[in-house]
Parts: sequence; structure tokens; C-alpha cells
Amino acid sequence: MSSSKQTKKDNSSAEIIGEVIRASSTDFETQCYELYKFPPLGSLVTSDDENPVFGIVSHSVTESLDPSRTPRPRGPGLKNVKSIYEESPQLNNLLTSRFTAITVGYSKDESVVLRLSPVPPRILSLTRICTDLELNEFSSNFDFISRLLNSNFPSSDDVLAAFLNIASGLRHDPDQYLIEIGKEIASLLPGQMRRVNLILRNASI
Amino acid sequence: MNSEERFDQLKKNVNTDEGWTGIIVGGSLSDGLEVRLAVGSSIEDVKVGRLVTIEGKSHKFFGQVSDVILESSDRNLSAQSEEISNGLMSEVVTGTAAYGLIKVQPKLSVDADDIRANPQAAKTVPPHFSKVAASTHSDIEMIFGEEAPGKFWIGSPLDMETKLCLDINELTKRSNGVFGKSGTGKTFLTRLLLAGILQSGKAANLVFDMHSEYGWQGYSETENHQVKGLKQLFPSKVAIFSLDEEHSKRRGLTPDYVVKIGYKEVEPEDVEILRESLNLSPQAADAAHSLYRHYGKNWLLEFLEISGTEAFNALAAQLNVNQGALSTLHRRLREFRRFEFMDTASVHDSVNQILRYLDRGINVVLEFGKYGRDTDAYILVANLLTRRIYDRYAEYKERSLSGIGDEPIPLVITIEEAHKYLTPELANQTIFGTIAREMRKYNVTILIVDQRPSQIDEEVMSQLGTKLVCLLDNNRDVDAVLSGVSGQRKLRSVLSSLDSRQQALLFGHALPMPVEIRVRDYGTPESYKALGFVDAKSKKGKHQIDQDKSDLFGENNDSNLN
Repeated sequence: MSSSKQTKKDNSSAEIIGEVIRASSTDFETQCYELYKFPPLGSLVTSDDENPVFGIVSHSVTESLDPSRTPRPRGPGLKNVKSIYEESPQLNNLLTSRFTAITVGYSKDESVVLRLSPVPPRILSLTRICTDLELNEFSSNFDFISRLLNSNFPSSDDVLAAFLNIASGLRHDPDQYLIEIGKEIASLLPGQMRRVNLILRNASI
Repeated sequence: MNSEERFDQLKKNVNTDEGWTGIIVGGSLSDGLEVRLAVGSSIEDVKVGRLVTIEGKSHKFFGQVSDVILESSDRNLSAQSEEISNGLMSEVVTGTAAYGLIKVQPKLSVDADDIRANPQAAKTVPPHFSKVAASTHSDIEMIFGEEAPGKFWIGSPLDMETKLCLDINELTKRSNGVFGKSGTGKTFLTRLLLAGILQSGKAANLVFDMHSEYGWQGYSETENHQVKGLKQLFPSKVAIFSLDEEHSKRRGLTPDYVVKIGYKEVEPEDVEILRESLNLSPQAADAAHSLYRHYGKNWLLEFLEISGTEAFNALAAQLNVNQGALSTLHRRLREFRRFEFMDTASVHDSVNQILRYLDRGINVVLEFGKYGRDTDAYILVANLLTRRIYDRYAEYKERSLSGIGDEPIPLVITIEEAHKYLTPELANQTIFGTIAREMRKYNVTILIVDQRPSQIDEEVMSQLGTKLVCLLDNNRDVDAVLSGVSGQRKLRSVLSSLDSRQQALLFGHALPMPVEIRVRDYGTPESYKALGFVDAKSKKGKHQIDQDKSDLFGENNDSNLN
């Protein structure tokens, strides 16, 4: 893995991408303002209201707003999917992109607490992608790993790998970071070295 | 603190200066404690024999690493070894699922509230999860004491540069032994010990220097150069006696005294001790006693002058001994005539001379010169002189007990090749056996320097207070040295892993716990300086000269020694 991995975005300003539409103690769901503009799997997001709650994007979905009107294929003979969206701008209002983030911590007195929030984020709280600085600080403490691994969320290992891929890219020495955090994962998953190996392999792609 | 710093801090928590730490996860007092190495600790930094400190709740424990084990918490690990050994995974698994386990034998404990108290033998173990780390310099000083008068810096624990000290007071209270195969540094270690005893002034040394290595100069086989002997380092505190004046002169040395032994001084006991080396039957050795009864003190000379079969037969009949035995004895004792130090003159003054020096606390090294190659001469002289000196010491001691005189200054007699005359058969008869057994009743102890401890009488070996052992690889020798020592099995593995040079295992009264050391350097200008040697080139002040004079001749310079 290259250590010169650079972040692609300018993170100096917060990027608000949607609003919370469902919230529980363990996860919260955000509906994106724009179709397909959801954050990549494993991104760290926060519900930006009075009591910010941090979550890791673990499941994203795009579907019809109206469950009774499901999309149908346009083909055969379809050449370019982009042109369909240009020809039918109403699709942007008929479809919706949503994602679920597993709650991994909250902000208290300007510091990050890596525990479940006492209360879930309020509905319609603004959701934004965390800045590199926030991500760096958050990922320096390894306590969030057990939350993620024990979330009972399908494919939580892949979510963790995706998160580590993003977080390690911000470090000077991504391999060293993965080794250190790998040790933490290994101690949480005794006797499951194959699983640990898979997580790290995916994280370092 | 930014996130990178915090991350670095997180890593640092598991690293110490020594490169490793661990926590106790199990074990027992008898079998040793199991210590799991912390994540980030390198198992290669942990070496068997390393001294470690354990922070218990109310006590600080000291122990020694006795084994280093590769352990894994996952039984499938070996099945997946190929997959794991690649890339990041091997590093991730190291310290987590695959970790280092070390065995630590607890030896001493000290109350954490009163760390100045003397460490006691460990009678319990620290609780689970107590922290374990390599002992620091101050820990070593706490256990073995700082270098000070009476505490002699003998070397450093392996892998450390700390000065490890021997308690010379305790050392000189009992007989001691230096053992090791030939060429493992026994002589260097002994020379250092002698220097330590000499420096402390707690005892005077009498060295029967078989190969003339301690007195004036010795030879370093590794460095191929001459090294200074005790006389060169401490000229005013050491006197060199010689049995072979020519040999001394060839080396550019004028001995302080040339030792002569009168035939009259030889007693039947001396012949008895030589029985094995002279290849005499018990009857022949017994005949010496009969001769002594018959002729009195001058028995040897008169016996040697007899010639002719008739005279022999007559004497044999008169003494009621076997004629064959008598003639064998005659033939063998004739060998004494080639000893140039043997003299027909009446009783010589050698013993008095030696005592005169020893009384002043001046150490005496008796160089054997060419007779060093002759075991008979060595045994004869060492035994004969020691017996008389011991008698005198017994006399002094008894007088001091009845309040007439001063207590004699403790005497340490150094003997080599002891396996030739402290054998189970002979130990009861030699004076050295008596000294070793009776210990310091009369303020005389012995320092045995030997390469075959298994040949030495068990009883003598069991009485040795402190043993300093260089590499030994003969099983019987190792058994002999370690017999009666607790934790024998572990010490055995330590002993066999010693380097063949400059390393030794020390245990016994002069140390609170057994310890492997790298013996202090000897032979470099710095090492001489550290022992208190003042280079002749650096001009002596008048004060120093006066001091030497008074050391040598007493406060009044009218001594009869010059």
C-alpha cells in the first residue's frame, strides 16, 4: 500500500450531505440531499446538532421514494445510463439515496467519547462527513473497534476494513497504523486469525 | 497533544529503555512465574539469566529469567502459519495471538515501603498482573550493594554495565572455591578476588602460586600479553616469596624471601598426603610413622642416608615393617633430593617469615618457579607450611580468647590443583581438609582454585561458603559444584550456557542470590587504575611514600624486616 495516499477532498469546511430520518441508540439513518451523493462505505460522519453523534457508514441504499412505484429496466438497447437521467430529471425526485451509520461515539465538551450516545440524534439533524482532523483524532483511539465488530451488522468486517482504509491513508506510516490496530483486532478476535487477516488485507488494498 | 503524538504515546506505553516489559500471568514459587511479554516487547531482548524486578503490591521482588518460551493462544496458528507469515499479519500476530512467555524464578523480596532494608529470600510470589521489567542499575545496587569498602566490584550482570559487588566480609568468613575448566578465566577471577580481599584489608592472603601467575605478573592468553600481578599493583601490601630464586631473577624480580625447607621439617603426615602421587602403598606410608618414632625429628635425612640391603633388612626387622615397603619408601623419598629448596640445615625460618608479613597485614605470594610443574613439591610445601601456620594461628586465637593477645587477622590461603590432595581419601589427612571443615574457628580459611571439583572430597565442597564457577561441562563436575544448592536444575542450565571466557556464575554467602556475571576487565591500564594502581610514571608525592613506608614497616621505621 502506498503511503502517499492523499485525501481527495478539501476538508477545511464541513460538508453537509443530508438529514437524519431515523435514529436509534445503536445507529442512525440519513437521507441524502442529492441522489447518489452518499459518503463512501466506512466513512466517519456526524449528526451535527447540539449533541453530535459519530457514526461509521455501514450500509447505503438507493430506492424509490414511493414503495409502490419501483423502477423498471429501460432496455434492451440502452446505451448510456447518464443520458437517461438527463432526459428524465424527475428521476431525481422519485428516487432517494439513504445510508445507515453505526453509532461509535459522541462529542462531549469538545472531545470525542467512544461510547454509545446517551440519546440518539434528533430527527432532521444535519449529517456531515467528518473532516480529516476529526477522523485522525477519532482513529487514534482504538476503542471503537469492538463496537463495530459487535454491532451484529451484516458485513461489519468489511465496514471496519473500509474505515481502516480511509483512516490509515491519513497517517504518515499507514502500515504501522494497520499493525497497531491489527493487534487490537487480534486481541478482540482470539482464535480467528483468518478473519483478522481478511480485515487487514481489505484495509490495505 | 495532536493525534499523531497521541498515537506515538500509545505505542510508547509498551516500550521501556530495556526493550521489554511483561506481566505475571501465572506460575508458582517452586516452578517459577510465568510472565507474558507486553505487546511491542521483543523476545530477542530477553536473555536467560537476566535479573528482573517485579512490582508486587506491598513488596518488590527480584528474580532471574530461567526460560524463554514462544507461546500462542490460538491452536490453529500453526496450521495458518503460511498465510500469517506474510505481510502485516506476522507483525500483528506477534505479541497478540503469538506471544513471548518468560519464566522468572523469584529469588528475593524487599518491602516496598522500606527498600533500604536487606532483601530477604522470596517466600511468596507477587500477584497476577504485576509488572515485570529488567532490573535497573539502582535495583542491582539495592540487591548487591554499591561499591564501597568491604564491597568489591567483581563484574557486571550479563547484558548490563552495572557494577555488581561481592561482600568481602562474608566471603572471608568461610572457605571458598573458584572452579572452571582450564582456560575459562579462573586465574583472572582469582587474581581479582585476591585484589578485592587485599584492598578491603579484611584479611591477609597467603597464595601458593603454582604457576607464578599472581605475584609479579601473569599472562593473558586471549590478549597475548603480560598482565600485572598483585605485587606490581600493590607494592607495599604484597611480599613475594620464592622457592626458586633463579626463576624469579630471570623474570627480573628479587623475591622478598627465598623459602627453604629443612629435612627435619618434613613429617610423616607429609608423606602420607603424597602417597598417591608418589605411588606408595598404605604400608609404605605407615612405615614413615615408624621411622619417625624410631629416629625422631631427623628421620627423613637419616633414613635417606641408609644404603645396602643388610642395613635395610635390619631396620625393617627393628621397626617391624615390610622390607619391600620400606625400600619402596626409600626409593620414592630419594626424589626429594632433587628439590633444591630442601636443605639439610636445621629448622628454617620460612614459617616465621611468612607470619611476620601476615601479621602486618602484608599478603604473601609464594612462587613455585620450576617446582610449579612438580605436584609433589607443591603438595609437600603447601601442606607443610600451612600446617605450621595453622598451628600458630590456633595458638594466637586461643591466646586472644583467653585475653592475652590480639585476635589474629583473618588469613585466606589460596591453593591450586586441589583435586590432587583434597580427594576423599586424603582430605581427612591434609591440613586443608581440616581448615575447610573447621571453617574460621581459627581465622584461617582456604580459597580453592580447581578444574576438577568432582575429584574433591564432598565434605570439603559442602563447606565452601561462596563458589565462583566459570564454564564447566563435565556432568560430574557440575554436580559436585551445585550439590546442595537450591534451584540446581536451573543453575545447571545457566552454568552450561556460560561463555568460555570472562563469564562466571557466583553463588553462596557473599551474595544474596546466585548471579551470572561478566567478570570485570583485568589487564588494561584503566582496569589497573580502577583497582587503585598508581602509575610509577606519575610522580609519587612525599605523603604517598611515607604512607607506603608506614604500611610496609609500621609507624616506626626500625623494623627488622629490612
